[in-house]
Amino acid sequence: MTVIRPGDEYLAQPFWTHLANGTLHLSTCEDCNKAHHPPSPICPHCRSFNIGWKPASGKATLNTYAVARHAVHPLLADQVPYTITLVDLEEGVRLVSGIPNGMEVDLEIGMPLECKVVKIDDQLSLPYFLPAGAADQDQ
Amino acid sequence: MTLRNRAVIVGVGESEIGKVPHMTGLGLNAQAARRAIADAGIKHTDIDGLLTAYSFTEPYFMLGSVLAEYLGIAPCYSASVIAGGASPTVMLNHAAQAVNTGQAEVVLVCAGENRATGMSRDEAVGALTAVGHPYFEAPCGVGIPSLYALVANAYMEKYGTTREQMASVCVSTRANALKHPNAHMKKPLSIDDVLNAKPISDPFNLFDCALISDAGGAFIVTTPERAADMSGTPVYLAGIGEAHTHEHLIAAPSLTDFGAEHSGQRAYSMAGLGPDDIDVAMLYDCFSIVPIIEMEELGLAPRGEGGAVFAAGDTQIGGRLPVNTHGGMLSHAHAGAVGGLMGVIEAVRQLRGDAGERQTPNATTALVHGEGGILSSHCTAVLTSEPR
Repeated sequence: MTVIRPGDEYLAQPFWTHLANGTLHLSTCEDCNKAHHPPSPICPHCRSFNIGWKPASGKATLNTYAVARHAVHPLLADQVPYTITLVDLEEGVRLVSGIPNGMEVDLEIGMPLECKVVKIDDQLSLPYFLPAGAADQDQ
Repeated sequence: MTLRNRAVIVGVGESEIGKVPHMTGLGLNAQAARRAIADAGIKHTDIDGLLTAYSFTEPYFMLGSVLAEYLGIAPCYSASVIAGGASPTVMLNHAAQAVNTGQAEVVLVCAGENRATGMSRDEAVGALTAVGHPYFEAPCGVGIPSLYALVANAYMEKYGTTREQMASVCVSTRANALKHPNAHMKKPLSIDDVLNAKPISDPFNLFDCALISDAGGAFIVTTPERAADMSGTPVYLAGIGEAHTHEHLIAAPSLTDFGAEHSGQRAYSMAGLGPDDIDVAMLYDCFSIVPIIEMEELGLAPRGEGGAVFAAGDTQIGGRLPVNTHGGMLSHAHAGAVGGLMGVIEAVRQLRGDAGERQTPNATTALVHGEGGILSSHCTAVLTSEPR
């Protein structure tokens, strides 16, 4: 599976390193204990610079979704159509995600989802969010 | 300090539009600038302020200074504004502030790019992909159409906006564009044409997405006092307001409530006017859902009822509330920041009574809304033909 690889950025590295190890972690303030996303050097809730990483529960709600039918990048030409999702995590942050190609899933805005970390290659894994049960399907 | 009645637009100009391979992007800016200068009835040496936006096709480090070189001017006030599609109305705000604080007397506001011929279609769309978050949105294959599609689906779910209502936005603006001699699109468009076009990202098909044009636009801002010496008919800034809530959709406060409501309230408040006073509206229309959302947030229709206003034909020329009488970015022109600037130009023409067969009878008050990013940055301006 080809993806547009995320940029290599200092602040974001732990996000991808944790995913490569199989878990979703969120940038979280050590002082007020609230998560934020994207990762930031400063907590947007209490303005602390004391930022760490904590594991996410993986529980989320489907905010909205879209089905891309036209490839906006040459790397995506063999991917279309594919589903993009916007998910609200229990920790109060929102992620752009999707449904792995080849997986048949019925989506409904507002439905509960669970995180499934999918390995793309040795360096990169992506967090997908699937309805309960679908997360256990083989791809 | 209020800007109400204290700044005017005294000249407007647009470049050749469509595929203009014999012009560079900044050349299109210069052509539009020369036409705006002529429209204002001034000399280029009268310009002492310059505001520009940005360019994907010619990404000069100091875009404004390059344009100043082209035009042979040495302004005492120069800046480049990057607020995406909201840039032109934000530049209007900055220009109005500059002429009221003595920073400049006559400000030229310019934008434009050669996106149709200056870069390949894939390059243009690829560049737009960069507007998504490079680390957290791009790996999911998210381009701008999909980001707006996420909004459209959330909005349809919450407020009941229909696919056909969105298609009627495209049909309305196309019907208007056919009456504009300089519009990029020249052929009629039907609801079926929109619904059967090439799918891009559900619910959007090709005609739900803004054009990729070569285009430049310009307008000139000064004080009412200074405009008295100029031959261009002044249009007054009655009120203007901004709201900047996020850049990336993952950080948006909501997928169904945006900053347009707040920028609109600020503009109405300064103007001492409200939605019922608006005779004609220029709403940012990068995708067909967006003018519907803006119409509702700006109070021009109740929540959930904006789509029906378009579907009823009320937004076409001659309708109850004409919207984007020039054809908007869906049918007139879209090339980066100039897309929304064309709305400013059309509002000025409507208020001057210069809009020919597009003219809204007795139009005295116009609203222009600019929006940048993914409904991230908003700036609303209320313009009037006379001081209020």
